[in-house]
Amino acid sequence: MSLTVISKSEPELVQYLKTIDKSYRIDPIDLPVWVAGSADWEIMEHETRNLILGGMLSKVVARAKHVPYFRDNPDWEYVRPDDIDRLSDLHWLPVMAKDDIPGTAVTGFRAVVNSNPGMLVHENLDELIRRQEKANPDYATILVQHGGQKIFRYGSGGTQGQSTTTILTYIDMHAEELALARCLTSNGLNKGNNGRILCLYNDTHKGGFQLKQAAQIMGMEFHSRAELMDWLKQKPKYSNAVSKLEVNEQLTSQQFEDYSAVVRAGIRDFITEYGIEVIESVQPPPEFLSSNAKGGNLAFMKIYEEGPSSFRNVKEIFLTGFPVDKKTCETLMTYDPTYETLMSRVSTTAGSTEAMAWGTTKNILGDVNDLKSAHFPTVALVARYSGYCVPNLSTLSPGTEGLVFLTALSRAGSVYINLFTGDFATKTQAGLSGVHRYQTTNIAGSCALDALAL
Amino acid sequence: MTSLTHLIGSEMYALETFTVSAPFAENGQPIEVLLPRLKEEDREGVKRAIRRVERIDYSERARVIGSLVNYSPSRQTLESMCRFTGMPIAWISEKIKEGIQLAVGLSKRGLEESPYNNHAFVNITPNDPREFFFFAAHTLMADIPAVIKLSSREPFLGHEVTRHLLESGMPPGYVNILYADSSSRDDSKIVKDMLNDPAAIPIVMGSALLSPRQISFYADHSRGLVLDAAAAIPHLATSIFSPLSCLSEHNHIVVGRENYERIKHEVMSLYSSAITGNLLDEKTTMGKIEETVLSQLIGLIKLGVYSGTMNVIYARSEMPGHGALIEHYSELGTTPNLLMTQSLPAYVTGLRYVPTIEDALRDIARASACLPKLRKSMAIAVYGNNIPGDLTENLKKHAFTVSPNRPCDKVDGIEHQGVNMNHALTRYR
Repeated sequence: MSLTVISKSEPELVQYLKTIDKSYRIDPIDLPVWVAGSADWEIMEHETRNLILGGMLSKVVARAKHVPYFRDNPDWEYVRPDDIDRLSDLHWLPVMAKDDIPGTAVTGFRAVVNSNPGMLVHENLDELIRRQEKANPDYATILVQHGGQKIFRYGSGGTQGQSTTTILTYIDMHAEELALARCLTSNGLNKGNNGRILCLYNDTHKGGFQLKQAAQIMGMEFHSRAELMDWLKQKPKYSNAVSKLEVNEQLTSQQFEDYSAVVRAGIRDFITEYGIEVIESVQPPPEFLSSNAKGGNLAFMKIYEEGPSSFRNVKEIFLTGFPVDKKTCETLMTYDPTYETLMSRVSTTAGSTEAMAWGTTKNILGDVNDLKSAHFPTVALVARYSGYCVPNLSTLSPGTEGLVFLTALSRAGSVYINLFTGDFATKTQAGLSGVHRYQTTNIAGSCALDALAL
Repeated sequence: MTSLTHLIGSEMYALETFTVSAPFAENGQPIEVLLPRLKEEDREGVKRAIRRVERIDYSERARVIGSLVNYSPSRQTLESMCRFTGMPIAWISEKIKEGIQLAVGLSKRGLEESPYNNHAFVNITPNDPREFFFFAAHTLMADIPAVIKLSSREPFLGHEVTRHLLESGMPPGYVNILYADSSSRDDSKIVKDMLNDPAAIPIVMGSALLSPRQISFYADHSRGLVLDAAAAIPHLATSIFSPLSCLSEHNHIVVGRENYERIKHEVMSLYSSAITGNLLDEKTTMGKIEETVLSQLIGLIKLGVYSGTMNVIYARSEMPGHGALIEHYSELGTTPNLLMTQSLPAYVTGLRYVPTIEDALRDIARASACLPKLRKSMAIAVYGNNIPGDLTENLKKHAFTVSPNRPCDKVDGIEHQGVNMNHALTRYR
């Protein structure tokens, strides 16, 4: 089920939530997942959203008493869920981070969670899954869509050290997928305008899998990386190059380059043959490519620049994993008279294994990396950490830059409240903009790195 | 376009080339250099050159090193170094002079010779022009042929100095110069093979682990401990204007409020009076920093400021890498501030106020314990009128070198990061 935005003073989603509890003290666990896909989150009145999400946050904090990390953490001892009314109350809740924030009292949870992956998960997980299923009468269908798998475990990139595991239920996953579809739709992906997607992300990663599911939700034709590889292997022109690259340890640089060029030509053939209109891919900055001899042969611009004519029908390029560099944007969005190619849009998103696509944007002329925040099921707070005796997150005025802290509201699995992501953003009236990160070249183990090379 | 070649024995050649660009185009002239790729044939050539090297005795080797007093870098080398490193020409010239003095000094120290039939493979970095002189002098005085792989981020100096040594009578094969394209898996594999050659003493600058089979210098944090501002002030400029050197004190821990205010004032004064502009102008004292370094630096500073642990008290320009002073704090019992553990290869100085020497020691101990791999700083300079003897001993637990009333950057070349290079070379089978 999905909601249609209707023109009246109070969005349908708000009306619906009021029927559950007029004061919005609602646990997202008990809501049907379509709530995560509702476009009403973007249009509802700011203060109403603040109250709705605040009520949810109160419930999330109450539930966190069943999560060992929060239950046993002295910082959380005096946090009372009933004191939380608004989302802005996140400001006085403790901060969590994978690694220590140097100089502050914020201690990283990486080591603790790696020794016990259950530390961040509700001890009453089975009960919460039952509640999620009760709220979603079509849960059996959702389960089938997720391969009958009730629990998903994903390792985060591990850019700062050993990867940490995030655990999600299939309903958690579906809520994020619906929200991702909402973000992609707002970026410009649309069944009517650009219905055929080629995704170069591997669906063994959370991001790749959720892109596939989001395409299904949007009713778009989705061609996965696995399908692309099977197609290449069946074509005599490309099969040898693919198999050589799959065991690339024995290749010289020249062979690696030659076979990679063949595979890229094959990808362009696929794009032409299937009339691909949307490409979901990765384009790292030049310094990443120049310092990674073994990776990057499937970087998007390499595929594009060797044969722009194959991209005549492509209307949307979705690039994640790194901020999109200016040159890439300019190249893709400039009409190329030789090949008659014009990329009408480049879009991106910020996301993480711990959360989901929580900041997103489409680009026509502005900065493609100037992301706007999604409002549910992950909420992003821009703040600065302050205080020695009583640490808190200062309230920033709009236009001020700060650190990004994420809270996953609709989660039966791993719970993250005020998680410091390492990202920076500018506070806006409605949320945040201009999300960015400074050290982006180390993406070991990430979905993006996997998508970059064969 | 300028091109350079490998220098193997007396041969200068390049079988295949790659292009590198200097990041700093002074006078509007971008510079691109053609460098040789590293091929299997080069590796064989090096082996032959080392086998055939005509050994000369100690005094002759000392004479060859001594000839460096007549070496004067060509204008092309100096300008290229400026454009590659971003450092001003006057600073580079000065460091080359210091490198020559260091090498000549080593040739007069009566260093031991190696009894073994091996050679050194040295992978050097571009951050300090003295580095090449240090390794060339040590290997030559230890009578060990050297294969020195120059960084493609500063490919000129080592090549020119080696040619000078050859012209001054150094037999071909004593010092051999190689380049490699680090983005090429083929080149990287050959470098790795050469490092792993059982006949080689592998010496690696940069982030590498110590192991029984390798002499590694893990370029790490150096810092200053100020007990008396008056003792430190004459030396502050040395570190401030050598931002890329791992021996520079990018961070000062200052005991006492009055000392702190004086140091603060002096550092701000040095940054504000620095002369920026054309790197090739002899008057320029402050160089330029690469964009990627600045980007990382901004991230680090913003993280500190936004997490309430840093305060930018002076910034000469909007870009904090070009003259900035940052106060920093750490809560007790927490992971130390990043300015206590991260190198800052830019024109940025960190200042930490502590009320007592005990506080300073506690901070240094905590920071050293957090340093990756070696758990020790590279060096600590201590400035004070009456430095307590036990303080120096205490600091040695946390740093490889402790320099009383002398900048960490002022070195004699005998020991580096706790390694006596002559001992390492001559006792390494």
